[in-house]
Amino acid sequence: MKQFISTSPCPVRVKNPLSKAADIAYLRIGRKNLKIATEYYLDFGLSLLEETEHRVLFHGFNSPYPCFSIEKHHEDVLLGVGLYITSFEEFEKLKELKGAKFLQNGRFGNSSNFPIANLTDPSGLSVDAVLVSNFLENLPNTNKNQRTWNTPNQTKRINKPCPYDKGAAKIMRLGHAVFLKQEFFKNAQWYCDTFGMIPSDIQILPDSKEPVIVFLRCDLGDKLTDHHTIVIATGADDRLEHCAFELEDLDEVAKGREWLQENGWKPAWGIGRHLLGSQIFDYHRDPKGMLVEHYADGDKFDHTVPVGYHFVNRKSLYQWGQDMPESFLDSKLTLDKIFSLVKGMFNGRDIKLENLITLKKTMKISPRNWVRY
Amino acid sequence: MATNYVRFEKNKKIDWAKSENGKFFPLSVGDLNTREFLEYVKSKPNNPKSPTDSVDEITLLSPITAPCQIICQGANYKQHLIESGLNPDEKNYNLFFTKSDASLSSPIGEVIRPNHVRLLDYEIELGLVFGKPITKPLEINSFKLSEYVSALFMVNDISARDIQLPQMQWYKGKSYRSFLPAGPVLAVLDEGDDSLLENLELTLLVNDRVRQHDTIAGLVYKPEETIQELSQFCNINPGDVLLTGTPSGCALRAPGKLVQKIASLLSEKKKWDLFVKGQLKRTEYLQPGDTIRSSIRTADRRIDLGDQELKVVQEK
Repeated sequence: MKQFISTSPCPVRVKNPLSKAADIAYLRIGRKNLKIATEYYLDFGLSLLEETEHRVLFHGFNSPYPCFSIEKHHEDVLLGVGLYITSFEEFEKLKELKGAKFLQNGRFGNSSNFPIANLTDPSGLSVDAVLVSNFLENLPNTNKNQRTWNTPNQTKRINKPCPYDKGAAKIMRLGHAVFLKQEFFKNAQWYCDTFGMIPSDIQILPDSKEPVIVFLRCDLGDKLTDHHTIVIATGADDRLEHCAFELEDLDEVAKGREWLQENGWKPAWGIGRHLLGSQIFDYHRDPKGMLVEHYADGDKFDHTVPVGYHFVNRKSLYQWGQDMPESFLDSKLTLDKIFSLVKGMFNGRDIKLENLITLKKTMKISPRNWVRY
Repeated sequence: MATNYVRFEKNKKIDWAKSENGKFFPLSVGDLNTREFLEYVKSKPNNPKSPTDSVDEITLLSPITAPCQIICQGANYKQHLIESGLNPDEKNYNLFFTKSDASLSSPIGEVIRPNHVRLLDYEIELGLVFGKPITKPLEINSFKLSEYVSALFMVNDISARDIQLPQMQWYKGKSYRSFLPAGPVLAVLDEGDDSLLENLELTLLVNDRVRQHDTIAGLVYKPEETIQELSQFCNINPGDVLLTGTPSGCALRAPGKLVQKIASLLSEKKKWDLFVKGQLKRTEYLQPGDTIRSSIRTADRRIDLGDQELKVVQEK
């Protein structure tokens, strides 16, 4: 019998991290065509904050600060991620790290001029630690047409039909980002060591039991935080797999789907409910094919919830919903990805090809062989 | 949904506490044994208000107390059968053995490797606590699991393979003191929890590497079937426990078919000498300094038996 031994350790929470990130702040995306990207993300539901020839900044209804920045670039790629830090002492420690850059006046001029310690994660991604003490102070809720639901036990909507508002989804905030990394453990543990992140759930391969996906949450002590803020997954190249934006409720998720499809944009997978994190989800593709998610009703954990371990398979992705389309997981080995893989191996990266191959095979098996379209 | 309890020591006094959202709420019931505690839970559902001042001040103990009968199932996950050199299609019996209750130990603490033991192995298992006596044979389909099983808990069935197998002493090889870390949680079942059992995920890590992982759905002999069979030859009292077997991934690995054939021609002594020599080459056996962490919970965390953290130390 073939013997399988897991060679990679699982990422673990550490006692004394350098800092404790409080939330994800923003993502910076490079696009050759700003105009079409702007058009898409307005239909997607983000609010315009600032538009110049070189950069478009968006925010959600929950915050006046930018959560998404599309920047003019010669390639369509992820440029960076920002995480909020609330402690000045922690910020100083990050600033002192080797290779760290200090941006006294922030990255976005007047739209958000908080000091930034710019770091680089082990995959080379630019990570901004943004020092803001009050980022949690939400904007007042301006939604006058708060929906009310009737239930078998309680009628809240009396003599009133349920109104449907047509339009783009109302995005409250950026919730999380999922990164594919050639080196899984190195990157995952870096976010735990540097930003005090806590593994909420870890997915492992069958047979070898190698960890390949980790859902990381922030450590806010006994305050609640999202089940995951950063997800690290094993990939053939280093990139953003998807990012997710939080909406108010299921109606809002459905409304967003209607609007995007009416306007001729491509859906990806939805609507359903995730298993790990529990969110009601709906995935779409932006004009460059990048996955973006609308979600509502995600799990909130404090620091006491211990990590869960699960086999990675399609069953672990959703409790209910439309069956996952074959095209959803971009597991094709394109020339670009093969180039990245070879480059990574030449640069001495600890790439586990076997894991990638097993992962691809595992994810192909549908848990719902009764679904036929 | 199951209610979680822990048994703990604080200022040299033993008590039980309700465990909720990572906090412990002491019940001030004193040093009840497992059977007495289950009776207490049945009779007086009480909702303590204030949690312990600090989790660091308390020592978590095994929620299973001695004296009790500890019945174990062996080779009860298909993949583990194959690993142990048994053919799942040929094995047509439920394998039972017992452990001494002297082996019961704290879920957060130490596993002591006796000085003469070299092949120290780990086995994560789901444990069931009986809540009702069984004194006569039961008919299959005549009972529901929850009628006889009151609670669930986690154990690590530590084994000295170089005693258990070459000396054919399962009882001794699996019963040294500290060989049965149990808990931390005693999950007292509610009606309707039966259906959640299948989703329980067992995970054991040594030095942060996953060695064992499976779900209860992988059991060969399910609990109802096993209890029915036990009732044919065994009396059971409330507080007695059944350990349901371990998934694949232990350090022990059966030699290949060819080696087994050759070994069968050798004398007993020669054969087992070779066995120990072969196993010593495996790096998976526990060494002093190793850390074992394990958990049993459902992905949606409706049942959560807590976390064990054990350090392997050499006998002094």
